[in-house]
Amino acid sequence: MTANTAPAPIAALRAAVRDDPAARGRALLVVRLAIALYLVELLLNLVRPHTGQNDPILSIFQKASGGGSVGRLLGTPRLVFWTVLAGIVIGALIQAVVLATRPDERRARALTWATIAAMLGPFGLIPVTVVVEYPAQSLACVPGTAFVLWLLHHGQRFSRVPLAMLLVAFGWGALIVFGLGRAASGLAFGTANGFLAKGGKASLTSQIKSQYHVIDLVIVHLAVVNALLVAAGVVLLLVLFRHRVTDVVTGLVLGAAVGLGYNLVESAMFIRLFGSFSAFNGTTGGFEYWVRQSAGLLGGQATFGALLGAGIGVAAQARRPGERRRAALTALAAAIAGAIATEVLSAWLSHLVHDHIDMGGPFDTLVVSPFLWLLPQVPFALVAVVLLVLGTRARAAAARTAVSAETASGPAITRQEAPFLIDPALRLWTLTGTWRLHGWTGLRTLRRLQMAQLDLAAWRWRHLDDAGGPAREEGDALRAKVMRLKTRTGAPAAPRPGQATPRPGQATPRPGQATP
Amino acid sequence: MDEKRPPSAPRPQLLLLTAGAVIGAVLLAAALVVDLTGANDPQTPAMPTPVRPTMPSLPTTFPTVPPGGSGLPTQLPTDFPTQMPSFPTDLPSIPQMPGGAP
Repeated sequence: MTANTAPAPIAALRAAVRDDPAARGRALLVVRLAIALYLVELLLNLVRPHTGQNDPILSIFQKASGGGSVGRLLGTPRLVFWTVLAGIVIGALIQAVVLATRPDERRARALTWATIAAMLGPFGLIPVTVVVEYPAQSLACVPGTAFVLWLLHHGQRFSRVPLAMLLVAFGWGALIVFGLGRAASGLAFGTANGFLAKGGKASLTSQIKSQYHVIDLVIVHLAVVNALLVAAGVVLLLVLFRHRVTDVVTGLVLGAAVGLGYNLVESAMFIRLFGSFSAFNGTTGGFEYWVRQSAGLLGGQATFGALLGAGIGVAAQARRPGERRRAALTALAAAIAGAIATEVLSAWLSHLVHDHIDMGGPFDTLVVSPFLWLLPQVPFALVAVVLLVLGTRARAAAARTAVSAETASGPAITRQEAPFLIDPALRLWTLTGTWRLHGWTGLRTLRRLQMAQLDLAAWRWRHLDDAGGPAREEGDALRAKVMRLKTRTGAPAAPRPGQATPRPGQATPRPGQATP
Repeated sequence: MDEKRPPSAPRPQLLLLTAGAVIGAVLLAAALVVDLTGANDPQTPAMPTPVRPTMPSLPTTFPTVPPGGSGLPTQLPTDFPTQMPSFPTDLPSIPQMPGGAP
């Protein structure tokens, strides 16, 4: 199927993805690092001390996973494990073929994408298994998650991350971060169990203590691996997708979308499992739904993903290598430490408070327990919000400069249109007024025009100093698109401030119709 | 990343990220303290202490002679009975069976 005959979403995705050798090389590097991490985990699990005669060569082959609920939470289905291994072998073979045959550009491109799909794709089977096993819980999590995704898409000022990029970020979180993170942590659970439970046969107390230590290590491991995978996903997306602006807001939005995808699958699993274990731990599936999909929908992995993505966005924006390293490493440290601290401190606070408050009552369910879960995350959420505000302000300042420069250089953005493009509130007012004057068609037309003008302004922002060569061609194409939109349908006149607008239902002139 | 970067230097954002890392380090240290002190370990029910039966204390002295007694007997009694008791000879006769002799 050629690009011309592909369905519209696939064609849009192809158009959004960069396909040059440099981008593909960087993408392959990220994938190889992720696979190397998994292989190290596999090797450590192989060489772990075996605690009994029936201890299998890999801990994931153990019946009932040997760890009760924790084992089930981290378990990898055997078929999925073999598929993962087969995928890695196939990917390595494809790379060997590429090295040996030196294929032409078109074939090399196809083989690169095949390698990435073979190596990473099978990890996605782990979350797919969760969603298929727990369809009702997964479906229940869709509305809240879709709302936050909508918010992330429409909440950006000046220049939005392309929708395809945002959706791929969400998919990376749901499939790869969850799948690879669970697969690696499942192996780490067995490895830690083998090393720490070695001398724990003496007494039941020492065995219980060693289990606590193993669980602590797995929490740390999961936080580290998840953060690394979120960072890898944001880097991969920034490398592969065409986008106008790379800054703190871009990274923050992408990181939050990755965390949101992870959160969806994790919520479905926890709602089901904690519902099943409610007789033992007192937590019901309904409570888990409330905490994860209502009160804490923007918390947890979404918050830490946003923080980490923001750091990578700042690193990509910084010019000095020292600033880049500082931005990426501090964000990574904050995300890892925050995830671990949230797990430990929220449970500790819960122990403290529930000695004095009746557990399971309405006040506890609606207020106390969500508050205790969110409390350790509040400082990180505040940092993320302030980063968003600063990034948005920086964008507004840059937009003013870019729009002014573009206004001076041609008719694509006129002096009358400039204030509407710079001020989001004014732009929203214009769109609302246009909808009341011209209906949905007028609204869509004006919105399309404004988005094209903002794209042009974002291009100008990137090329304030060097608007020559290929950049100039890109700018010309963007200007041509704006002029085409202006002349094709006859852009509806935006209502001026103070102009009376008719009520919906009142006879209104249609777009293109002459107005007095 | 070939996308050209905006010219502004993100210094306040770098400071905020550093602040986030410091907050993370502090909370991580707090979590470590909570973990190492076992404050977060699940509370297991206290095992009942088995009640050990106490051994009765044995008497350490021999019983003393009650007041008025003449001491412990030192010889077996000798005045055992030597004759068998005599049985009575005037036993009553068997009564008549109702309805006469068979």
